Amino acid sequence: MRSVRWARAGLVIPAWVAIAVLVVPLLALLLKADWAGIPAHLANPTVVPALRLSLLTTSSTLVICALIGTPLAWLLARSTHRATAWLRALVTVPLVLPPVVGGVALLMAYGREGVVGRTLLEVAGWSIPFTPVAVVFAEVFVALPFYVLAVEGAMQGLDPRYDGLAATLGASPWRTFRTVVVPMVAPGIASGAALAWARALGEFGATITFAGNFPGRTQTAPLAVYVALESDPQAAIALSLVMLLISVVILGALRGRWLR
Amino acid sequence: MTGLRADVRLTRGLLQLGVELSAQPGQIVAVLGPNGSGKTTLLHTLAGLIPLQHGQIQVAGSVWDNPADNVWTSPEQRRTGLVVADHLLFPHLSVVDNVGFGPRSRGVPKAEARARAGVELAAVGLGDHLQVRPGELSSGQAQRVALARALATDPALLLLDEPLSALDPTTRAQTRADLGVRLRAFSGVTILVTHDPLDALSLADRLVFIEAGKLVQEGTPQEVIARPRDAYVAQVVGLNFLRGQRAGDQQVDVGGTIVVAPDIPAGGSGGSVCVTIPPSAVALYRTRPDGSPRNTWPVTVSDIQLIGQTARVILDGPFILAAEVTAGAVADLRLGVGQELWATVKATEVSVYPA
Amino acid sequence: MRSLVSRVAAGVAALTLALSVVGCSAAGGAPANGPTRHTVVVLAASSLTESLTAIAKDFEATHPGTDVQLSFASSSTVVTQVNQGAPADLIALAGTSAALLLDARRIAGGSRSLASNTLEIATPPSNPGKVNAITDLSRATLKVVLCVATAPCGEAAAKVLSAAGVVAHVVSYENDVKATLAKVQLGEADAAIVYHSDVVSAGARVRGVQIPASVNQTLDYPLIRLTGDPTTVEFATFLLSDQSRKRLRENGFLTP
Repeated sequence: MRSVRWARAGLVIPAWVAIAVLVVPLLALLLKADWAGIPAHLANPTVVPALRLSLLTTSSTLVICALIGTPLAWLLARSTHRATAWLRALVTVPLVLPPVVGGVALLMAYGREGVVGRTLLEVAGWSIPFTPVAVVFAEVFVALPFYVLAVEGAMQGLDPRYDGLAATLGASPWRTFRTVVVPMVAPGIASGAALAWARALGEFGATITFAGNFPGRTQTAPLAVYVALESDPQAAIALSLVMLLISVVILGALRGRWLR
Repeated sequence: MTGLRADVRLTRGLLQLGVELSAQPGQIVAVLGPNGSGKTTLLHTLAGLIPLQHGQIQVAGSVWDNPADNVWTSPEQRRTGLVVADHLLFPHLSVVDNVGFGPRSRGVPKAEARARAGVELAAVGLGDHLQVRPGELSSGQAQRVALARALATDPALLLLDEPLSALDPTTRAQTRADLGVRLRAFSGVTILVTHDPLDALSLADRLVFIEAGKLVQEGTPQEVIARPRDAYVAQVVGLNFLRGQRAGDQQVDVGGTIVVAPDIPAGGSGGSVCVTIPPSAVALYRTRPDGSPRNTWPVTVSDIQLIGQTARVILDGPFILAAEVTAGAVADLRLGVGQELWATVKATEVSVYPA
Repeated sequence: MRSLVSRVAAGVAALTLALSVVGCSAAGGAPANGPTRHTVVVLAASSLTESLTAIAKDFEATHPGTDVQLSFASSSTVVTQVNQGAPADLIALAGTSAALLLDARRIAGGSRSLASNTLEIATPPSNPGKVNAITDLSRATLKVVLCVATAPCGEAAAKVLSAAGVVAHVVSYENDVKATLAKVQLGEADAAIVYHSDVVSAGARVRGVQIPASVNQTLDYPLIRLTGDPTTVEFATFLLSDQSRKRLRENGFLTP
């Protein structure tokens, strides 16, 4: 009896250290904030545009991730081809790539001199860097792997016999995907979406490298915090608190309904 | 040509499947065989989930699969219904929407699909369970809903893959009865895959036995019960099965041992015949019985199973025999594994027919 | 015995432990004057990257056993870091206004002028935007990149543009002058306002367009000492020597 309790204590202490590591900085943020001055700091002309841009781009990112990520997750989950393992590893690369490196890669692809960007500019006159579209590109690049891996995991747990059964009932593969597969993995999709959204919201390195930093156009909330930190730290803290609040509220709401 | 005419040939891993199967509309054909014999694969080729490599599948006059002529109909275009052992009802849809899934997928408007679903559910006795979620159903009810779902698309071919195997014995008995009623009212072809002899004997019009991908016997239940042509089939219908050569008007040579039986027919190729002996006809004695019983053999008990008042004793001798004796006899004979006994069978109880 | 109370106590102990570990390393900024150390930690404005790296190598070669550790960032970042307690012996900033935000308690020795720098326009070698004068920067089809206003080069660039009466068509404000220059080197930007020293160090990878002296800004680079140990003092002196000044001029700086 006693040895079990000692063992449990041995686990409890490191667990508490882990909690401290995560919670202490957030508590410090709350403690050091100049609460009385927050409304004034938030009135800073860069704050609202930055928040608005962040919410706009992350929403677009989420929609794009769902539209292109769900079919990819399905492909990875159901494919028996040998190359699938390689494809899955490839999809995971942006997860381990330092974000700035991701930004440089995006420039090499879609910049003015980029592999794709050059043609795009010549043919259609479109230039992606320094635009809100570039922000979405950067966010999708870093967030899509999170979404795909989470959803693929959920889809792998789905009994593959459902597909065949739905087919015998007359459902085309597209219909089966829409009416059977997606509803049955909805919790996995919600979980993947939450992860992807959170990652996109916090994206900094790829954004500043690829999209640049222009208030109202490409200056997302994380960028605004970084810039504010040097000139007006309290404004940075105020904006940080707002982002913290938004994240907590949304993740909390999702947790209740979808995430276990 | 209505009904089913199938010549299924394919190789899948270690299984080489080569079966010809045909059935008339309204017929229920049971497909039996040991695990791995290819029953489910056969069903899946009929459903269109596995393509043929050779042969043809034709249902209600249209060819569904013919590799040689490059004819292929995808599963969603075939008029099939599939029921599996663990129902696989869509958990996110209500019972009525589950059953209406097929019609909806074929373009039927929602209201009409629901109405059709209601009719099918009433036909399996669940007309008042429309809005229930699958998770709230008992296993027997779920299987009936699965059947209704398969029938809602008005299929030409109904495929049942061990539909009762996942149910507990009591539910199984009741659901078997319900199934029987519903299947008899179905006008298409039913192919029922099972390894339960009771399913086959009580539900089917014809039995088909498959072993290692090949058809070993087919016939009506009565034919099969009377004359199994294979050890597995005999086991299914509960008979001892031996193979031998005709050695006279009343004698069969089974691996060197003579078995006496009345009126032995001419025999198949080379005089080979099948011999069946009901377990209840095997009598056991501690010492060699007097008189001149013709079929008397020394045996050793290798296994005893007690089922209520009856014991099934497996005996090892010139050949393996199963005997059915009363529990009382077990006590009288002090039966135990390894015990040496004498087994006798009256000649009149031995059935012999050409192989 | 292992009740809720004792578990909470264990948690509080762990928390305190964690906090004190955090507190320890954050405590004082500059190390105290102890026994002779042979490392010098220098935080400098990014425009000094090439020159200080070369000077540090010269110092280490002539003073064996010493280790000069360099770190470059925007001057405002350097000041923020030092104010928050980052350990540094010497700092070199671009422009005197950055130094105004420095916490005076951290300063050990006075401020000396290391070098000075002027601004210049940088374009990609092929000059895709056809930029030849500061007035060209206002063209709406151009992609101009500047430093953020909180960085000295950004602040100076704003003054230069306003003196010239030009509203540049800016598409991005980068964190420091090197990131600004990078956008031009990558070909993403048509023009940027950077330091003359940056144009010199970039060599053939960028093309420079002069800014008229009448509107240009000259930035003085203060060298500020934060600790007093011998090696630091020695390196500070070395930085102001003729040999170092030669290095600085090679990289496009003006020296006193």
